[in-house]
This record gives sequence, C-alpha cells and structure tokens, in this order.
Amino acid sequence: MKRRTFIEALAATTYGVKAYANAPVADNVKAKNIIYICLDGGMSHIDTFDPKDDKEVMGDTEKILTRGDFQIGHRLPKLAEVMDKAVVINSTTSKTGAHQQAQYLSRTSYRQIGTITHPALGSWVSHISDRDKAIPDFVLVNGISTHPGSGFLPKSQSPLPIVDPKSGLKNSKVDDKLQERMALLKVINSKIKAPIADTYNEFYDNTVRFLKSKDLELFDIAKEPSKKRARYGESRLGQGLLLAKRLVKGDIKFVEVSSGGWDTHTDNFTKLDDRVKELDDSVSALVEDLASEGLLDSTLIVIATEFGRTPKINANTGRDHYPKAYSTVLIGAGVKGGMSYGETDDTASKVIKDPVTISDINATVAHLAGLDAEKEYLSPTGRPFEVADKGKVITDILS
Amino acid sequence: MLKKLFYSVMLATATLLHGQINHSNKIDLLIAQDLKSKKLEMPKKSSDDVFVRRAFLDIVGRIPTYEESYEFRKYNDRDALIDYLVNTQGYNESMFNFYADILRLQKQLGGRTSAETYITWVREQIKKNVPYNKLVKDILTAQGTIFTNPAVGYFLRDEGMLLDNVSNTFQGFAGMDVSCAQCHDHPFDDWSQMEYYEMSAFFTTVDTRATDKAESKHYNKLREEARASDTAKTTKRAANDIRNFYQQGYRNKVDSNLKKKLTLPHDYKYKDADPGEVVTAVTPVGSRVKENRKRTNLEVTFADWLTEDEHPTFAANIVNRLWHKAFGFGLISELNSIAEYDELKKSRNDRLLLYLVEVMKEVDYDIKKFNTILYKTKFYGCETDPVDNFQGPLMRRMTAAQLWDSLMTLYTGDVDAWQPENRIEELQGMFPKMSSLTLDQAIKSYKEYNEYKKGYYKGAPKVGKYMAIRSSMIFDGNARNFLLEFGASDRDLIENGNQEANIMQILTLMNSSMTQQLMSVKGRIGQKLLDYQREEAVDYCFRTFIGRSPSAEEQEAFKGVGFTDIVWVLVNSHEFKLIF
Repeated sequence: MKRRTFIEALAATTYGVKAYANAPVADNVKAKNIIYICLDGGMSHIDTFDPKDDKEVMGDTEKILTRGDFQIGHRLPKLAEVMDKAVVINSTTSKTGAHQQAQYLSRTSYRQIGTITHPALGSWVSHISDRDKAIPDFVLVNGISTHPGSGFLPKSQSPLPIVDPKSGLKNSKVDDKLQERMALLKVINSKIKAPIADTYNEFYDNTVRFLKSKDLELFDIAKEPSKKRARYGESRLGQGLLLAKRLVKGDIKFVEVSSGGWDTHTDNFTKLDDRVKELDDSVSALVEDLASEGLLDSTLIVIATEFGRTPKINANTGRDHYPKAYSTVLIGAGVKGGMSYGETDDTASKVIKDPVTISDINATVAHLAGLDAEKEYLSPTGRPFEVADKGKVITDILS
Repeated sequence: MLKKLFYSVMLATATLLHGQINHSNKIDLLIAQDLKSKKLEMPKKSSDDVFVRRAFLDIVGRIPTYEESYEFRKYNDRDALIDYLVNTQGYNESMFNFYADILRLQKQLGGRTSAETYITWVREQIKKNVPYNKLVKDILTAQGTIFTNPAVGYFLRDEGMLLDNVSNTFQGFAGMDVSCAQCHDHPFDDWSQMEYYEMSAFFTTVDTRATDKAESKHYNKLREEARASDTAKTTKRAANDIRNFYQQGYRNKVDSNLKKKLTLPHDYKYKDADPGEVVTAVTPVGSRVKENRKRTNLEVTFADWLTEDEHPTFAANIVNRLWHKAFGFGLISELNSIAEYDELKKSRNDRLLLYLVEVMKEVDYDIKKFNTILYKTKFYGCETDPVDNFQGPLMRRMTAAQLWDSLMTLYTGDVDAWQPENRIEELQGMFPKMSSLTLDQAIKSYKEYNEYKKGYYKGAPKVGKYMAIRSSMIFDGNARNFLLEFGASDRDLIENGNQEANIMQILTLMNSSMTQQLMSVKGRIGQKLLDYQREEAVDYCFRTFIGRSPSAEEQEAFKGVGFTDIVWVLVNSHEFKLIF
C-alpha cells in the first residue's frame, strides 16, 4: 500500500471517525534530521548533567563550568565546550523505574500495555516523510531486542537494524555474480503475473540498485579517515554516532543509536569513568563534525535515557534506579543553545521547577521534525493516538 | 440481520448433520452459491505439483522434500495425503506455532521464570489433539505450580497484569478487542468501562502467589543467611542465587483466594459508580452470569460461560483463525476483533461462517477433524487467488515459520527427526520442598538446575550457527532474529505476525550464511546431486526448491550454470517464497 493512503484506509475501516492528513507543513521543519541517542540502563543525572554541591550526594563527581554558563559533571570536559549549542533539561520525571517499560516509554512516549504496540518516534518521522527510497528513513544502530519498531504503523516504517556499526549493513556484501544470477532469476520469475510478484520484483530491483549505489557506502564507516574514527572513540556508541553522521549526511531522517552499560548498581563511579568518557568523546565529536559539515543547523541530537539514579550511594558504591528526576539533552537544530531548563532540589532528588515528561520531550522533537504533536491518528483497529501521547511541546526551549 | 441468518443456518445444519452430509462438500456449495450471486467464477483446480507443495506448507508448515512429492505424484490421492499429513509430527509443530501466537508463548513467564514446562504441556495437548474448548477451559481454570500443573503458565505469563491478561483472554478466545474499555468507555463500541471491570472481576480471585507460608518463611530465612554470607565475601552471589531459585520454583502457585476483590480505578469518571467501589463479576455479553463465590470459583464460572455453545463468538473466533491459517485470509479480516459488542461483524460469507461454527460444535472442537474438513474441500484444492477475491486460497508469501522450517528441511531432509524431551518430572525433582534445604543445598540445587536447563536442546542438529530444528522450538537467539526479520509474531501481542517484505529479508535471501550453506556442494543437496546426470540434477533442484520441473526455456537458460548459482536463483525465486 502507498504510505499516503494508509491513514485514509484506516479511516475506511473505522466507524466514521475522521482521519487527519499526515503531511508535515514544510516550513515547520526545523530539524530535517534527528540523531536520537538512547542510554540504556539509566544514566546517572547527578554525575553527568545535574551535579550538586552536596558531597554526600556527589561521591567523587565534581562540577565544571561549560560554555553554556551552567555546570555539568567533571567527566564531560569536551561536551562542556559545546554546551553553547545545547539545552540541558534537568527536570525530566517519570513513574517508570523498570528497564523494559522505561525503554518502551522513551521510544514511544506511551506506557507499555499488553494489547497494542505503539510506534517508535523514528517510525512516525519516517511515516510522515513519505519518501520513495530503497531504505527506510529510520535506522536503528546497536538496537535493543525489545524495540517497539513501527508498532501499529505499516511495517515499511520499521527501522533498518544495524547490529554492529563497524560491520555496517548485514548481508550487504555484493557478490560479483549478482548480475548473472539476477538475469537467471528474471527467467524464472517473469512468468509469474500477480500483484505480490510485482511487489517482490520491485524489492529485488530496489535492493540491487541500492547495493550498487553510493547509498551503500553510507553504512561503511571504514570510509572515514582513521583520525576521525579515533576522535569519536572506538566504543559502540562512538562508532555508532559516526555512522549516524554519515547516514544523516545521506539524508536519512531519523537515526536511533543505543549504548548500554549505564545500569550502575555497583561501582557507579568507576563504571562511569568509562561510560561517560565514551559519551563525552563521541557526542562532542558528533557536534563538531556536524558543525564543520554545515549540518548542525538542520540536525537535532537528543540524549535520552530510561531514568536517573538514586542520589543516595548504595552499599556497593552504586546508584539504583531513580525515575523521579533525570536529565535529557537536546543539541543543535531548533533549540536554544546554552540553556539549562528545569531544576531539581539540592540533592537532585525532586523536580522543583518546570517538570517535563519524556512524552513532552518527544512531542518537542516531533514538532521540530514537522509533525503535529497534538493531532490524532487512528490505529488499524480504530483507536485514536497522538504521536507522543499527551506530550506538550516545550516552547521555552525552542530557538 | 446476522442473528436471523444465524438461526436459519442452524436449522439447516441440524437437518444436514442428521443426514450425514459431507461437511467439505457443503462448504464448497456455500462458496459456489456466494460466488454465483456475485457473478464470479469458481476457481480452477490446481495442478498436483502446486497442491502437494501447498498442502505440506499449510498442514505441516514446510515444503515437501523431493522424495515426498514424488511419492504423492505416484498415488495422486489428495484426501489420502491430507489424512496422512494431519497425523504427522509436522502437523503438531505447525499447530504449536498457531497456538503459541494466540497464547503469546515466550521463553519466560512474568517474573522471568522459565516457561519450559508450560511449553512442553502445550506441545503435549496438541499432540493428544485435546479438544479446543477443553484446552481453553484448562488454562483459564488452572491451579497449582508450574510443575504440578504447567497450564498455570497462562496466568503466570501476565503475572501482575490482571487487566492485560483479561483483555488478551477475551481477544484470543472470543475475538473481541475490548482493551479500550480498560481505561474508558470504548469510543466506537458499546463496551463500557464498568462492563470491562465486571468481566475482569472473574479473575481477581486468581492468586498467583499462593505459596505455602512455611516455604516462603524458610526462603526468607535462607535469604537472610545468604545476605550475611555475601557481606562477608563482599559479593552478592548467594543472595541472588537463592532469590532466583525461589522465583523459579517456589514463588508462584496459583490458587483461588475468594477474599480478593476488584475495585474501580481511582480515576473512574462515570456516574454509575464511584472510584474505588468494589465490582461484582458479571459476564458482559451472551447469557449474563454473575459470580457466586459460595458455589463456584469465579474463573470457572467465566470459563464455563466462555466455552458454552451459546456463546456468541467463542466458536466463531477459532473457526476464523483456522480458516485464515488454511486459506490465507480471514472470513472476518481482523482476527483479533470479529465482533462489535455481542454481534459478529459482517463476514465475507456469513452463511459459510455460521455453518463452520456449527461444524466446529458438531465435531466437539476436535481441531484435527475440523482442519481435515477444511483441507478436504475442493475450494482448498483450487488455484490460489492473487487478488483476494475469495476465488481460491489467497496467494501469499510463506510465513516466517514456514520459510524457516522449509529451509531446515532442505538442510536436514527431515526436520522432525529431533524432538525435545518432556522434562517436567525431572524439573520438578530439582525443586524439593524448600523447607527441607539448607542454604548450601539450595544453592547447589540451583546451580544444578541452571546446568540442566541448558540441556533442552541436547543432541539437536546444527547448520552453521543455527540449530537445524523447527521454528516451533525456537524462542531466542540468532534463529529467533531470523524469524522476526521475516515477520514472525513477537508474541507480545496476539497473532502479531506479518508477511510484508522488507529490504533486510531480500538481503538475507541473497547474501546470508543461510543461503551460502544451501549453495555449498558439501551440503545435503549438493551431495545428493552427485548421483545424477546433469539434466536430472537440474530437475532435482527445481523440484526440491520450487516443486516443479524446469520448462524447456528454463532448461536452455540454465545450461552450463553451476550448482551454486542454480540454488541461489531458486531460493530467491518467487515460487520458493510464495505459496501458490
């Protein structure tokens, strides 16, 4: 089915409920491309973007000043240098303290329930972009196995998975006999006349075209100079973000990059020495790289996580799950730079100013991508949904 | 209107059944009449080559081997083939996938306990061809532990999510999607939130943690001991082990707790009751039955009501799903939503659907019998319909499971040769009375159990990085990813699979190790070809992969083409992945 007709078809299957047109308003699109980073396990807000003075809360983490005139944790010296392009939201709050449910919530903006799967934000963006391309407009790098994918949207909006950024797109090595085999394939296939055969013919033709095209190179980070690869860092996050930059440059709309290992119940500080360094190296490299290619004005970077971590340091020098207050960062297209939004109390345990939910943040991202966050869309069974649940665009942070 | 029709068909059926009419013929008649009234032609009979391939795929979930289709062509008796197929292990495997997608069977239950005994139990029920209405009743009224009565797995699957469990029960077995009413009155249907709660109240008394007090007390004692020993050793292994051990084997026991009551949510906003008010269980549609705590367990009342012959959708739901499995399209297209409130939605052939409902009751929910009737219709033996006009079974892509099982058949020749063992008793033996164990004994038992658990796939054949076994036995790992890539149901939701194409599938068929393995001359097929002359070899390949001999034109085109290229072309051909 043509993507555009999907919503209309939905309307036909329901009972007179009006469906809405889904085309974005072109001049609304501030963020042509989005790189959405998911830190799986739950990033400590205290040790990264929301440090405090209280030594008992902070453990060994210290504060440093950023170019945005606010302070962040000392493990982020390189990001501190680009905070003039970022808005740090320290008032994210949720009620979901379990990993899988929180991962689902941050990707779909909805609470996970047992009777429907909501689409990930990337699938909404891809669905709305409605472009005829061989590859989807939504690529998932280092993805989690429980990813909601396109939910109730058409499967064509499912993310293209990249399991390992270093090895690129799975099974995409071109065999030199491809041409010859495709010719033989046509001999067998040509006598089948049916719509479903046409669909597969098209898929094969597109795939072959894709395999021969420059687009395939977008997935190959070996094409980047080794110095640049090193600047991003050798971590999966680093190499994933380098891949994301290449994809965005190739005009893929939405790239989601996951990074695990943030569940620091034990040895929080030594673990964060590594994790936060990876984050610092890679995201700062990405910001610089996008800026130097002239892409930062049209690309929005989001750093999101499942929840924060307890201000109280536990017996194993760790921090436990803490959904009540945590941090989210937006950098680049469409948002104010050098801004710290929302506030927690002196121990980073309670939001005391401008509380927002991940749904509000996703509504804001959706808005910048040109989606109407307040429109209702219908699922195939006729249930009405909004892109980011009841999320409200956070207008104060828009540039 | 539908109701009127319902009674007229019921009357007609009663007379027909009395006269021992052949159900398959009657189905064909109802289809022919419908097509005639729409001025559409009856489809043509399919060729034997096409038929044998499709019958294998639909009934036993995989393509036939060269030898199997050869055997069929020799005798060429379609009814005999169907009788044979429904009595093979392959039929059970294919039906397992069918049920697993409805039951949302995953490797683990809620609370991360292993589902092995439950999975084994479901496999056994299918093997024994337990009547469907009994199967449903068994899982909805199950009591005991995962060892003493593995059917409790259905409740444990959704432990702590009562309302989701009830929504899924209703969707899976009554074909009604009422989940909207979980939070508010259904926007387009007559369902009110109150009715939803009245229905859910039947399951509030199902206590999934009715564990023996002495056992849990002893567990707490051991846990304290473990914690103390952990602090001494500055690790937390022992406490974790003992907790996992308890969760796996002791924590969950399903029993009735008639003291438990369901109350309306704090944000209940309708005038008929107040938030927090206690709800009395009442069945929502059909005959209105109320709870009677003194006489019967609540879930038993519900299960009786759901499975009674008068229920408006219970039989229609399974009929529609089985029809979909056999023919590739639903008589009502939304399998999980076949009714509005208490009335069936308009189907693509109302008389046929109502007749099939009667047949289902007539065969006493014997699914094998019912399937046999469907597969023995002339309509099933017709050419597939490429455009979904009800003129023949739908032309469609293999499901992920059919594709996987077919590939494994190509590798192994007999994908059903290896079977997992029924280890329910052994597993139960690994969890003796908790109160009889010391901490050290408990931890030792837990470690033994962990080792034993891994042995489920002992002796399973391997091909490359994959185990060459049925999709129905696969719940995680690389093979599971393959299945998901080709649209297998994630089993988070009921029958949530799809057969849509995507670029990753094409790349997998073109370039993956799966295809490479098939192309290897060292593989089963490559070796087989050594026995043949060139022309016979090409014929063998064509028949093996796409179930027919090459045409003269194809013979010509493939002259001089090597084995690996032939296999690549055949695996990627429409005729391999589509069902004709």
